[in-house]
Amino acid sequence: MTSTMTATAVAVQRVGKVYGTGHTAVAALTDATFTVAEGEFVALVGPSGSGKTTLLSVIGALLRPTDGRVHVGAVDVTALSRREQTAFRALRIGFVFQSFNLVPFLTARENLTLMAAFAGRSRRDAGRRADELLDELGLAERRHHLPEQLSGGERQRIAIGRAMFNDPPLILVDEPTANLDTDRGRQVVQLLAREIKQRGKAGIMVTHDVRMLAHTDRTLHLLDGRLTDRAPEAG
Amino acid sequence: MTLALAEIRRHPGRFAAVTGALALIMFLVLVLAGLSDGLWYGATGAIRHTDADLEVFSVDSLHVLTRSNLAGSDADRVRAVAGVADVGAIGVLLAPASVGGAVRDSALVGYAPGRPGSPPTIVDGRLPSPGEPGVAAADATQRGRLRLGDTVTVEGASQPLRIVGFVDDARFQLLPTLWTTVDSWRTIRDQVRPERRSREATVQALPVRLAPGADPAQVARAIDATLGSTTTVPRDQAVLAIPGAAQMRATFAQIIVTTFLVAALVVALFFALLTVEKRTLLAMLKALGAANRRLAGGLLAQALLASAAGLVLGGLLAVALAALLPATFPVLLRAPTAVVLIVAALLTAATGVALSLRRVTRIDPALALGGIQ
Repeated sequence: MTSTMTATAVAVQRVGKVYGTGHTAVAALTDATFTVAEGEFVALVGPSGSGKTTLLSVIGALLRPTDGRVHVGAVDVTALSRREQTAFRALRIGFVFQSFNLVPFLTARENLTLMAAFAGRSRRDAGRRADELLDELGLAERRHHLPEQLSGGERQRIAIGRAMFNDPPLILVDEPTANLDTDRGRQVVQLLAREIKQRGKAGIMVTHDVRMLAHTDRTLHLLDGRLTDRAPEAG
Repeated sequence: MTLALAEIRRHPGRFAAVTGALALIMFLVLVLAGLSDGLWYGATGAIRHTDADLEVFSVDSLHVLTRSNLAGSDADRVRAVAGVADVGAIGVLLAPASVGGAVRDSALVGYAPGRPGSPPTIVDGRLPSPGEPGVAAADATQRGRLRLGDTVTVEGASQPLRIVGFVDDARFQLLPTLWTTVDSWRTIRDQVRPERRSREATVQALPVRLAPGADPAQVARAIDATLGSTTTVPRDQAVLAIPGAAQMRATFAQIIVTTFLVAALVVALFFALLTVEKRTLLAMLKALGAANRRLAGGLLAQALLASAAGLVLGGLLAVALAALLPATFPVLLRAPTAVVLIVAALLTAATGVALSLRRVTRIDPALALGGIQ
């Protein structure tokens, strides 16, 4: 896959995370360093317990690292207070979660406009923006449906729209195909890759599904909390 | 807020349990408060609902009207005390009285028409005129069994009393109460209780109205100093001395406070469970950038809305019950009491949900990643 990479969108510098203290201390992440450019879609792979979720959480300003720094654009997210991190996530990071994680009692459109409220944007603009996104995602007819009335693929597309809603520079994706069959999973990742490219975002996707790596620009391998150059051998 | 309201609108069943529980609790609270008010008003109206500022009792009475005994002529001496605008007279006789052969325990209150201590609210007919013998005004709860022109005979009295009017909030110790002139009362009292007969015309208390700007405590001291064997207290204190009235009110207040504590626990438990149930959703919303303040505000709004719905339902049930009960049943739903209870119920709900707010703030947004369920 070709890409037009420009400025650095995300810089992860010597990030480490240790859970617990003393004899019970467990190093979940050690000395992770890499960058992601604008318009670049990076896959993060590794076995269970390798530290993928921890690394994604640190980059997403959800978890404070024990060591190191993470810059998203010019902002050092590791230096933000909890309250600043919350506001930062609303404005500057789009999340696509594993289990669709739409708000079950909001319609497709409301699940999108919700993000405007978190970001402090006006309700009127939010409605227009949601309609545009739903049109682009091919879900205009489903805007007033509740999540339970949508298919898995439709729900995940709504989740992608929600991640894009506040036009954040960084999209973090956690196992987006885990609850989808192969075809639908591929469609969702293709859609993600296209949106990230077209909108000039940086994207990081945690996945177990090696078939999806073809749709990303680069793959980062994690093993026992450390980034490695190549995929760990099977078994 | 939109989130919270949308959840109630689209999943109303989820909040039905707490709303139903709060409706029943509010029904109970309103009925208890109605009983408390009804009993209080029924027990104290004859003293409380008058224009007297002070009540003069004999010193050994401990401010209890039925134990007090004063000379009628003391009224003139009190009237001469500086700061006194006017003085009335009150006497009470508790005795059975019959209407058309039906006998009931009753209170016959003697008063000085036009003077302090008179019942102020006439709902039908008129009050006895000064010096008019053989007539009485009945308290309004008796309108079902008495009509204007009916006669009531106090057992042991030689002459009946003709009903000329009805007065509101004028009962004594929850008894059917008749208001007659103090002379008429004394005549009947002497016939029914000959052992109370004395050479000097007696009354039981002297209601006093103060002159504008007079200091109640100073005037009370001056009256007691003038008469020498009296104890003069503000009307409110005389009301509290009515046997059983204050204790009854305090008991109901304790029951109501306990019921509110139960309501707070119900709200706290419900929203604690709801918070645990929505842990994943709340973590996801926090990950997306929802501030703790927004989520806590939503929970508070839901608690207040569920409580308001419970209040409305409970209130309607209580009003329906009060409408079905006969007028003699001592349930009185008063707007001021209802307002206090509504505010207390909403504060209770807010307090209850406050116990869950900390759970919300402690949910780790990082739970949203890693596919937790």
